[in-house]
Amino acid sequence: MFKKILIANRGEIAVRIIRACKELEIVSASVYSESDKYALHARLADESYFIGESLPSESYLNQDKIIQLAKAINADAIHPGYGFLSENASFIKKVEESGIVFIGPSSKSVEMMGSKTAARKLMKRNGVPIVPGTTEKILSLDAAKISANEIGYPILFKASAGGGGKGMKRVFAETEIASAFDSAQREALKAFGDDAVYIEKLVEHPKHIEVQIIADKFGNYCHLFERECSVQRRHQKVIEEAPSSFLDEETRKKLTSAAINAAKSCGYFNAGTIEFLVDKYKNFFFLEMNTRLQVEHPVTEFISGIDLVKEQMKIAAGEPLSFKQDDLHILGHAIECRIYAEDPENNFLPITGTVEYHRLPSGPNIRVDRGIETGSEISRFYDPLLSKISVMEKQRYAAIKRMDIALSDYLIAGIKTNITFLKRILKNDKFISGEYTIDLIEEDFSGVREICQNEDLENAAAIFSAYLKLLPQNNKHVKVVSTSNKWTELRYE
Amino acid sequence: MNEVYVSINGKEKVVQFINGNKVLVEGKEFQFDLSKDNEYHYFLRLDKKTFDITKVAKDKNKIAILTKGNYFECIVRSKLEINAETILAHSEKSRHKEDVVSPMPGMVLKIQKKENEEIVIGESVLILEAMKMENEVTSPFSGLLKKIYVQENTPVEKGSKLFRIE
Repeated sequence: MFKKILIANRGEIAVRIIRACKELEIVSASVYSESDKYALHARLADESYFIGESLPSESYLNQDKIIQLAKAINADAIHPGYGFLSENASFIKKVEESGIVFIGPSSKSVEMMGSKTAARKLMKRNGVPIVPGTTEKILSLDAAKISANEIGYPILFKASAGGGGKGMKRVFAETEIASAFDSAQREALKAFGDDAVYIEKLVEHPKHIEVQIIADKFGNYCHLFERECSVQRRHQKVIEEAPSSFLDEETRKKLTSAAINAAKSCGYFNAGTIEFLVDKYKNFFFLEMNTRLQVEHPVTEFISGIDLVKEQMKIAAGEPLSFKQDDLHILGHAIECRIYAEDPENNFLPITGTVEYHRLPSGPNIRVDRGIETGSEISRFYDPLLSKISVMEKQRYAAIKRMDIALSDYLIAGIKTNITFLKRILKNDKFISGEYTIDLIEEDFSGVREICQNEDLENAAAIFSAYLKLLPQNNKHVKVVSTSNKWTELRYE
Repeated sequence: MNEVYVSINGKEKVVQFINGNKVLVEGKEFQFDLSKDNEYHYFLRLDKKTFDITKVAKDKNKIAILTKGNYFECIVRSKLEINAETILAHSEKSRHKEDVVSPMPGMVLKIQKKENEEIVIGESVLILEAMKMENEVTSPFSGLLKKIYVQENTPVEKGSKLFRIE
């Protein structure tokens, strides 16, 4: 096993990886940028190293600095987390060449899956169904129009080099195609340094269901069931659950074996995820492979009982998988909610600021993955993901209730979050019935803001804010009663 | 002065503090007990009901809070302030004449309209890039695009002026 792992990431995922290192008695080394000097991940690791300015390109994306540092501190492996350099084939290749182990797949597998168009071709050859569309880069607007007409509107432009909704534009008619093509190329260039885009038929009202796979370096492949991630805003997941209540046993079997075929087709090892779109007839289409650990891995860990991060480390160190497919059973129903610093009433725009107070929910089968605490700065440099709450219960509805309570118990001050929005989704009829698609938020939650009309809560909010209003002007009326504990009693006299 | 007018969820509630732990909300009496943990975390007992409250933001008369997972924005005003506002509203013609500010820090990627162009409500005026995503900034109302305060490829802070519609 490794002696020291360098974690080339930040935030909650870096914290998650540090924990796995500690459990395996591996020295954890974190890296931090200027604005992350006091971040949780920089303090929880056994060692932490400054790697540059706050701009990601100066720090968390600086390949050479990270590799040089890993060598200098005698790290024998690098864990990339998700995002940043995790799916950068040239970085992985450099790591491989430096003699340090990359905790993840080989650069070759990442390269094969990295180009979405190449991956589509590979899947087609290996009998994994793909969304109808082009398997080549679109070279001109005219070519785009021709392909779009062949495929039939509505269509979707997608970036060849990446995902996460960047470079993705929907087109419903030819009049919209020119501006969408431009915009998709611009976004793709900015996000991935490559303006290549291709066209897919827009599968209308699909579900997003993905399969977690894991493989060792000896050719043993297992799947850890599926996750349903259809609750998305701006093409990014907000709530994920496992298993999907939409799949029957037969479809699950087909889907998971397609996922294993996909992984085998690129000689994959370590943890990976194959994403599918599933239409209402339960037809499924390969969307892309994420060649890394995913944000939503906790729900899979809950229902499978497997610690994915520790398993990743063991596989990277050359150990065989510690379990077989037949050992795995779905242990319950798990849900994850992503807590973002964002404004759901204003197109989910990210919010920056300071976390002035933070109290986490807890209880049976409630898990929190976080990169923040009281005092943390949420800067504009990084993703506004603050933390993730995951819960498990035997049945789905009980899991929804457990999550609702956990969200109510989560206190966070100084910064607006999507907590209330998440609670509203949990009460949505389509969500509760399980019959929701990736259009849920757009269909049911855009436009008029639905507000909590509970009178008790309104009165409490009114009294509290009225009190804060009086406070500065009428200090002589406010009596502060000191008590023996840290609470200060306030009275109006 | 112990009276505060609170606008919440589109309703107006008058809150009157009577003494130590008595308060009236719209004339209805409650026993209350408010304690402070720190500037951002409070605990309120209302009759026997309990509320852990965190302050999300406070900006002049606007107070945003979170309690039991529910976010509320309250506008708090004294009688005097309400009177002043009524007078102001009458004296000034209620025309839409407003600066549109940036909803987030980002980069102005592309300006799609020119000054003195007529803009229809909801029309995209410029594209702002944040978190590597392109966001269209649309006009909140129809009117003349009087002034564009920003240039392409320049960063803007949250709240900084983008353009003016008259």
